[in-house]
Amino acid sequence: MRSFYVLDEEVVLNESLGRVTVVRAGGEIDYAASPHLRERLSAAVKPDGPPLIIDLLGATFIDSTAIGVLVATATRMRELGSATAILCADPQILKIFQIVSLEDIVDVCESREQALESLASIV
Amino acid sequence: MREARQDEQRLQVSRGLALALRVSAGSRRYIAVALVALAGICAPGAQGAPLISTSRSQGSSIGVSLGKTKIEASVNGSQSQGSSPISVSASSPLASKAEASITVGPVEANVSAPEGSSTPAPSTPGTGPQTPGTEPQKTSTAAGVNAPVLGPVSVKVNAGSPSSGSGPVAAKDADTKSQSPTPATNTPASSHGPSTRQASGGGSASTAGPKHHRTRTRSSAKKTNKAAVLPSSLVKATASSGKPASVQAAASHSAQHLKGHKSASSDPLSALGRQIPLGLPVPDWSRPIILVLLLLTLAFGLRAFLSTRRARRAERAQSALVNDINVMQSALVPDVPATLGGLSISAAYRPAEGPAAGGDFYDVFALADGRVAIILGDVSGHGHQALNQAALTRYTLRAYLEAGLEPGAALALAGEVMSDPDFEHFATVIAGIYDERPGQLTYASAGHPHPLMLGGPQALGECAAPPLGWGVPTGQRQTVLTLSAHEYVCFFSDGLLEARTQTGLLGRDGLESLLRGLGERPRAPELLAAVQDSATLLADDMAACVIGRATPLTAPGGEHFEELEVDRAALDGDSAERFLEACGVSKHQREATLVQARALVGRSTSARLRVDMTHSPDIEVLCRAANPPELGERTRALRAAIGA
Repeated sequence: MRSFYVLDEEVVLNESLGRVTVVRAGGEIDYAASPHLRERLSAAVKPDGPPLIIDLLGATFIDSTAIGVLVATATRMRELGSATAILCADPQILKIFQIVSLEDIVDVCESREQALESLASIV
Repeated sequence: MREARQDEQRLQVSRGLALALRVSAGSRRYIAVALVALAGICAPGAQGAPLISTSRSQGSSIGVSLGKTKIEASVNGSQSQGSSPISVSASSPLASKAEASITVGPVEANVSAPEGSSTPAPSTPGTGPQTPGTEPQKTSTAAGVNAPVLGPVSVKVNAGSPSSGSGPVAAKDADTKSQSPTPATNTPASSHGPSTRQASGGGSASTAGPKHHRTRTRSSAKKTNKAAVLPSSLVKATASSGKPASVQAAASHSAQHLKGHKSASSDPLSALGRQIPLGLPVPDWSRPIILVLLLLTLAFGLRAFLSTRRARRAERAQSALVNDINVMQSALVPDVPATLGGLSISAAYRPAEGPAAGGDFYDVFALADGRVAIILGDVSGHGHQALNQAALTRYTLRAYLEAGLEPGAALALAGEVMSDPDFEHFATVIAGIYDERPGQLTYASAGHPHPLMLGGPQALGECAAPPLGWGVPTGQRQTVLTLSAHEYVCFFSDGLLEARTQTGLLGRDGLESLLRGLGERPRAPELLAAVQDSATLLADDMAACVIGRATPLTAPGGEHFEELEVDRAALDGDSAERFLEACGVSKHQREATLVQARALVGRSTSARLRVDMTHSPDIEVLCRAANPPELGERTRALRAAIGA
């Protein structure tokens, strides 16, 4: 029940963006899972690296620690001149994102196409 | 009553005893077992076995045993040695090496002291004047033993160990009736001499008998002798008197009273064995085993004692730690007054199960002008870092509110100064101020779930401000409510929403139904208990604060305003329009308001949109330039004092 996974980053090619890094994580992303998520995401944050999509479509729960990791990643990406988008469709998680106004920090999209469009408009 | 008092007294006595012994119940059990084992080792052959028993083997020897004291009289059947047709030997109960033998003419009494006795010196075989046939009338004094030889009788004492021992051997009043001119043989007791034939171990039949038991021996010369009447013990071994062993052999009457029981009663260990009843006989071969078990018991007992002591020490350390934690916790979740400034207040906190504890905080305090401030928040992350962050947030906000800032302004300022360099740690917090005179509650949220309303209009949750610590502006949203008489507002942390139930997360709807289930006057502790009852797992801390009016309404209630402070970025984006839309403002009115707001922001830095939802769906929108934060009297006084 309380499963968490985070996959190795994959690189997808996009016509307008070129290379885009995608990190997929799912299950219950809570206090115990956050360190693993942080590790993978900080590996994906590189100077002059490609834009980042954090795919949370498989996530069922997210807590404040994980939100902190997402915000830290997005802030660092912005400082490096790159952009981040978060993929999420779970209504409960979207509700939490809304409460903490995550959209003020990072784009939250419901599909990969939407995320790529959003990134293209920023970069 | 008296029984209860007696019970209490017994309890106190047992407690005092336990305290005095400073040993645990487990250790006491080990001690008891060790005592029983010790008794087993020191016990006579068998509890309840006859003190005196006789044994007879073949026709030539008779044994008398007193406990473990064995006295054997044997008639030397073979005449090959030509001496000592009768021999009497006694062995001490307390040491296997103690033997004594007396030979009277043909009769020999053999006595030896136990190893470990204090016989000054052993008799040396072959020394002394008892050379057969040479000095038959002489008294043997070897080994400090006064052994008068009467006529042909020789008495010999052999101590098992020359160097040690505490008990001299004294065989009193050993006498033989039959005397013969046969010279005494000087035979070592250990070997019983060539002329002595003993039926040791031959006696098997034991019969319970009186202390004074008569035994008949028959000499080889067909002469019937009342050779020895050995009622008790021939040997008084291990006597602590320190007297030299003396063996007296006298030709006298056959019946003698020997105080053999002294041999047992003089030994405290032996007495112990007798006093503690043992269910079974204790055979000799089992004693080493019992000894090993005794040592094991002592070892285990020592271990139990040490581990108990360790446990007690750990217990003390733990209670000290718990006290420390309570002190630290009270910095985050203090006791709140039940009523303050016209509010009835209840607050409760419950730490998470597992490693996620720490991070929630709340505070309720009176401001200088009689208003009441409420803070409730949650810090992301857990552990020490979270505790520090939570304390910092609580006291920072408290200072700003005490300085007279509105809740939204306090959050905005805190958001500016509390930006986390890693942007990872943040605090979601809700701050409110209640003013009793208009009965008005003003609160602002920074990334925190907005409160539940019971008995009044539901507050608007949309367009929340971001948490403290992300380095982005916050505190823009504010809600103003006039509380009615039976209206309660419940502030809570997200741990309540994230409680796992059998159908998933509890959620806001689940929490609201639990709150409504608490009746007309809900209280925070009851709410947390209800959440705990319905939850299968509580993964995060839970904090809740429920407030309601404590005094009757003095001003008309039901007022409800939603406010948003907008700057240029907010007007360029869609957040201002989304806010107005969520408030139910018509499209026409939204556009007009936004035009007005842009004009205001052009002149100053920001504008405040105030939506009056009191008479919803009739909605009024006010747009005015945002004033700089209104400072309280204290701050003004402070500024005047420093000349600012």
